[in-house]
Amino acid sequence: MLGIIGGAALLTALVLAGFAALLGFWSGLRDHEPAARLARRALYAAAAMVAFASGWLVAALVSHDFAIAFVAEHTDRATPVPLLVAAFYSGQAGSLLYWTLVLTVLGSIAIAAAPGTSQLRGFATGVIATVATFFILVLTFVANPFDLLTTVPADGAGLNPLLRDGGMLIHPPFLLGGFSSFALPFSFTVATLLAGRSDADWLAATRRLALLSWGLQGVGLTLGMWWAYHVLGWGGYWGWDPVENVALLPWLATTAYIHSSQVEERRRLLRGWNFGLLLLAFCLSVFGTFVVRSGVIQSVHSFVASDVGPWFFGFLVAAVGLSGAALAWRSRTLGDAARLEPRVSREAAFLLNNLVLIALAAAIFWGTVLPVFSQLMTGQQAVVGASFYERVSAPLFLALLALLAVGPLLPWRGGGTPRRRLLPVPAIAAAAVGAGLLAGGVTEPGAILAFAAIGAAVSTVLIEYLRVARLAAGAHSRHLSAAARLLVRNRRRYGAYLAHLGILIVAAGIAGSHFFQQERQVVLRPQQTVAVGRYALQYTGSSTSTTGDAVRTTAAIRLGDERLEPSRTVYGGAGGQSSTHVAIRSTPLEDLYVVLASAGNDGSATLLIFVNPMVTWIWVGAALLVGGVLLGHLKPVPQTVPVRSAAARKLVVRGAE
Amino acid sequence: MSLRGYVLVLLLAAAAGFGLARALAGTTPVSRDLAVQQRLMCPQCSQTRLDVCDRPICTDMKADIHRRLAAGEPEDSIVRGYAARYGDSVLAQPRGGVDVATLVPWVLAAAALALLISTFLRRAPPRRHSGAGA
Repeated sequence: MLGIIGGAALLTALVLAGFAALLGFWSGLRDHEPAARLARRALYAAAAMVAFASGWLVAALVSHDFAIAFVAEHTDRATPVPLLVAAFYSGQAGSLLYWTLVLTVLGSIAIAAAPGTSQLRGFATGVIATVATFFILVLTFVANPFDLLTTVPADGAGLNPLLRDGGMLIHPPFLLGGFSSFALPFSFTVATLLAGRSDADWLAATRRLALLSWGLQGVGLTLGMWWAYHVLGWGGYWGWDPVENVALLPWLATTAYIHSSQVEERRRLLRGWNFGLLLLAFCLSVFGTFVVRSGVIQSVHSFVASDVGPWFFGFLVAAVGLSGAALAWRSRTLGDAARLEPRVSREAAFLLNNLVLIALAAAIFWGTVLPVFSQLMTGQQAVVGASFYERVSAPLFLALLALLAVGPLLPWRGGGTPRRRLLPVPAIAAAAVGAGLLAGGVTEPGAILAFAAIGAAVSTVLIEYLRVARLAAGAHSRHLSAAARLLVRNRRRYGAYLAHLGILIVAAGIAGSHFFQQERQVVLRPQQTVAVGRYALQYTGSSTSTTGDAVRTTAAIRLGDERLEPSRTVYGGAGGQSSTHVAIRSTPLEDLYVVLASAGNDGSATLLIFVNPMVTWIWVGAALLVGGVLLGHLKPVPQTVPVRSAAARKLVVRGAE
Repeated sequence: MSLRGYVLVLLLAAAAGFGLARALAGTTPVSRDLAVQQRLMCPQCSQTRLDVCDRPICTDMKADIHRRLAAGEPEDSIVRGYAARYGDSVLAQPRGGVDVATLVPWVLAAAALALLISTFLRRAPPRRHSGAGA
C-alpha cells in the first residue's frame, strides 16, 4: 500500500514539474507575470509531492515494508533506525529521489527569493523544472524506489557493509545535495541568456547560489575524505577514485567562477567566461551523476550497475549541447566593457588562477575518462593510477599556491599601491622555509617546494591581517571600532583571506601526510611489541563477538596507558564481505592509524600501522575554507557604514584599498 | 616594510621550516616486502594498493613476494613479473619515460596557453606613434 501511494506521489510530481517547465518557458518568452507565478506555484507543488514521496519512502524503510523492492534490497530487520533512514540514499533509486528532493526544494526557495524580472524568474523556473522533470521521469519509469515485489520476503538483504557506518548519515546528503544544487546557478545563467539581458544583475542572481552549491560540495568532499579515512582502512583519505574525481570537477569550475566573478564585478571583464564556468559546472555535475549511476567506469563507489546509464548519457549530451548553443547564441551580448591590459595586475592573476583550475579539472577529467576513451579507440582499457594524477596535478597545485602568495599583493589595473612593495615578503618566506626544511634534514624536493609555497602564501595572508591590526593599533581607542567596521565592511575580502588560510592549512596537511607518512606491516603474536615512528605498540590478543550475521574480530593493542582496538567484521549474509574499523589516535601533529588486516587461528594478528602526519590539519583547514567564503558572501555587504570621525573614516578607506 | 620586518619574516619562516622538518622526520625504515608491495596495485580492486588490500589474491601475492625476495630475486624483477602477468595497470607507478596518458593533458594545456597568449597579444591596444606620420 505504501508503495502505491509513493508511486502516485511521484507521478503527480512528474505532471506538476512538466507543467511548470512548459509554463515557465512560455512565461519567459511572453514576459507574462501571471503565467510565471503559476509556473512557480506548480514547481512548489512538485517539490511538495517529491518531499511527500521521500517521507513515504523513509516511512517504508523504518517500518520494514519488504513488499517494496528497494526496502528489501537495502535493509533488514537488524538495521538500526538511523541507518534505516540513511538507507534512503544508499541505493540507486533512493539517491536519485534524494537528488530530486534537494533540487526541487532548494530550487523553489531560490526562485521564491530571487531578485529580477518576471521574465528572468520565468525562464529560471522553466530550467529548474525541466531538470526536475527529467529526474522524476527516470524515477518513475526506470529506477522507481516504490517498485513492488511479487513475493514479500520475511527479511531484507541488509545494507552494504561499507555503508554500515555513522559517516553515512552525513557524508552522502551533502555530496548529493552539492551535485544537485549546481542546477541552481545554472538555471539563472541559462535564464539570463534566454532573456538576452546584458546588465550585471546576473552576478547578484548567481553568486550566492554558486556559493551555496560550492559550499555543499566542499563540505561533502571533506566529509567523504573523512569517511574514507576512518572507514576504508587503507591509511589515506583520497584515492583518485573516479567517483571522487567527478565530485571534484564541478567544485573546481565553481571555485574558478568565485574568483573570476570578482574580475567582472570590478572591471567588467570575463563576462562570457563566467557564464561558461557556471554552465560547465552543471554539465560536470551531470557527468558525475552519469559516472556514478551508470557504472560505466569501475569505481569503489559504483555499488549498483543499472539501466539508467543511457538516460543520463542522453541528458548529459542535451545539457552540453543546449548550454553551448545558448552561450553561442548570445555571445555578441557577452562582450567585455573593457580590455584586459597585458600588465601584471590582480585581474591577470585571477585569470591565471582560472586557467590553472580549469587545467586541473581537464587533467582529472582526462584521467577519469581514459578507460572509456581507450576502450573505444584501441579495444583495450587503459587505467591510470594515483601516480598519474599526482604527476599531473602537483605542478598545477604549486602554481595555485604561488598565485595565492602573489595575487593578493597585486593591484587592480596594474597601478601602483603601497601593497605592491610587499612582494619580496612571500619570496623571503618561501626561501626561508625551504632553507629551514633543508637544515632540518628534509631532502625530498616535492616537500620542500610545497611547504615553501605554502609558507609564502601564509605570509601574504598574515600581511593583510597584520595591516588591519596595525591600523587599529596606531589609532586611538575609538578607532578600534572603526577597524572592526573595516573588517565587517570588507568581510568579503577578509573572509576570502580566511578561506585562503584554510586552503593553505589543507595543503600543509596533504603535503605532510603525503611526503612523511610512515607505514609498517607486521604479524604479531600476543605480547609482542612493534615500533613505528615514535610509538611502541604491544599486541595483547584478540577476541571475537557475533551479532546477527556479523562476526567481529577485535585486536587489543597497548600504547603506554592507552588501549587501541582495531577490528574487522565479516558479514555472512553479504557473501562474506568484510569491513574494517580503524583505531586512530589523533594529535594535532600526527595520527597513529592501526588496521587489523587479519587474525590467525594461532592468536596472531596481521596489522597495518601508519603514522599519518598533519591529517587533522585537513579537517580544520577545510572548515576554515568553507566558513571563510560563506561568512564573507552569504549576507549582502552594506554599501554604507556609519563612521563618525574623519580619522576613523580614513581608516576604513585605507583598509579597503 | 622595514628591514626589521624582513628579518623577522626570514627568522620566523626559517624556524617554521626547521621545526616542521624535525617534527615530521621519519624513523621507520620500510621493509623490502613493503617496498615491493607499495609498487603494485591490487589486480581486482579499483585504485587500491597491494599493501593495503586484503583480498585473497593480494594475500597470495604478498606471500609470493616474500618468498621470491627471500630466494634472492631483485625487487625490479618481481614487479616486472607481475606487470607481465596482469598488465601495466597493476603498477602503482607508471613505467619510466614519457607515456601518452601523462602527455595528453600537457599538450592540451600548452595549446590552450598558446591560444590565450595569441588572443591576449592580438587584443592589446596598439602603441601610440609620435609624430604625424599618418
